[in-house]
Amino acid sequence: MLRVENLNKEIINLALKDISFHLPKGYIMGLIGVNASGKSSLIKTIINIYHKDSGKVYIDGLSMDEEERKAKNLMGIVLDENFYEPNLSVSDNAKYFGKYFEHYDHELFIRYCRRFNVDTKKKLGKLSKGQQMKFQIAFALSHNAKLFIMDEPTANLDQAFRQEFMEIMQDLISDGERSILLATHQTDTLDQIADYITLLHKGRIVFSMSKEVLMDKYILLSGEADKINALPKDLVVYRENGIYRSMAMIYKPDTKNCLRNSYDEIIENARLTKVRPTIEEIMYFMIKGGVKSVETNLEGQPAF
Amino acid sequence: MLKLIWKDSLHFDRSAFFTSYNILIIFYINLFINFGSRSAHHIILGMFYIIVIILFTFFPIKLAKGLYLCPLTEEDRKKYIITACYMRFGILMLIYGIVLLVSRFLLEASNLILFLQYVCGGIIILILALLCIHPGSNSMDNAMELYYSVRKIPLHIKPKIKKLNKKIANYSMLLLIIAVILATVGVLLIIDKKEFNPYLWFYYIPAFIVTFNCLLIYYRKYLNEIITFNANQEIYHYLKKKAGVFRAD
Repeated sequence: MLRVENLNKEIINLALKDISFHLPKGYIMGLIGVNASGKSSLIKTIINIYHKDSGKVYIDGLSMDEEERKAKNLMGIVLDENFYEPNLSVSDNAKYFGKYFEHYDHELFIRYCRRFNVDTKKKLGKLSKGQQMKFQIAFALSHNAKLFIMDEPTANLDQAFRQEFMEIMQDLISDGERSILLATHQTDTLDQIADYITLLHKGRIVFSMSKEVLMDKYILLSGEADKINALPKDLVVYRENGIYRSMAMIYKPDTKNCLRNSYDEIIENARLTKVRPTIEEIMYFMIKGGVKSVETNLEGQPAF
Repeated sequence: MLKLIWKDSLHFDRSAFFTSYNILIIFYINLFINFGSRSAHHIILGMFYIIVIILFTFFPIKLAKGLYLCPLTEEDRKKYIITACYMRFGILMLIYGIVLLVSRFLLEASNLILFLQYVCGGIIILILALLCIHPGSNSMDNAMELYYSVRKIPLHIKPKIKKLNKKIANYSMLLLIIAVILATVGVLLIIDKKEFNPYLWFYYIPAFIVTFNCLLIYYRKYLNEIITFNANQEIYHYLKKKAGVFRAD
């Protein structure tokens, strides 16, 4: 559904370098990274708000350079800032911008607004940030989009709506025809709904792989400091020594890799607590550990 | 809407009002009305031009930011800009026609004088509309740049945008300035006249030829470049949310 190939974009204090990833139909991809890692810039470059210096973006096989109109008709975009007219009412905004979309359904939009408790008669600029976000989500859902690109959609939402939002997202992809790219640093949302995870750091992709592969790839060990420090250096992504307990995240090498035996031995024999890390922990340990080589790797291998 | 524009200007300590060259033009027109006026015709025309300049200053022709999220190509965005430009021109010409008709009763001027005033005024309005889409001529942009440079606020993200060739920007601006000066003199020469002095053709004929050629060159050589530039501009993002006013085009 979304294919990004060798995308480069230079901005004064950030450069997106050689970004490539692929999001298949019917899946949710979480785009994660710390603040200023380039998530929003990448999204804005994908949707042509920023002009790419080089590279290609395809939406359902349609090039964003040559077939921008058709491609954007397939996109539902939710950004972390309001791009719509603050002086128009919610309903007028939807009507005004909706007329540019082939399949915009105003009735559906009104239904979503009612469901989200958004007052359609109020001016958009008078709504709270959370309500503005709900407006954007309702609008994105109202023109039969196939690819949803969302930048921090849950940042200003309350817990109850966040849960509802996740249910909507899962409903959306249930027919296998739609996909969602979700940029966020709130990884708890992604723990529940994401199928693919892409980690962006300093404008480069650290990894882009399925969540299952990713979660299987790492293990979090905790225990006494001397045992943690004794772990083979090559296996450790990052270790953190605490006063009472120390922690380390190690990765699982391939079966052909000579380090695999050490890994198996640790898993079977080491007297350490083994926990499957969350996405946030993986992100934290990888970034703390210093990403030595940042390469796009679509096969599911971490780039170390 | 005016209130909003005023509010936007407040983001830059009202510098949109005090840095805009348009304000200077308004100041001179005011001087002209107050000290040079010998008739109601003077005042009506002066007021009309002030309103036109205020309209162009604080309601620049621009793309709504939301349009960048809509299925529009560069060509669509260009069409949107140029249509908005012509529409603005058309509406103002209609109002200008009414203003001249009203002032005709006050001045009892000949039809030829009114016609020449309509043509010269039309050229001024067209150029103001074209200036509105000219890069660097937007008072809000200028105010924003000044605001940042005076306070030495670093730009968080200043996207590398497709820059308009300096030659194109300067030459196109020069052509418009020549045309607008000739048209302004054209308006002033007959502002209080009831009958047309045939000797004035020695000014109007060459002036129209030069103006027409300037506009022709502008249209042929530069307009497309300028509109393409406007239709493709990246959206600025600045460090401080306070300074969140920007042009979307």
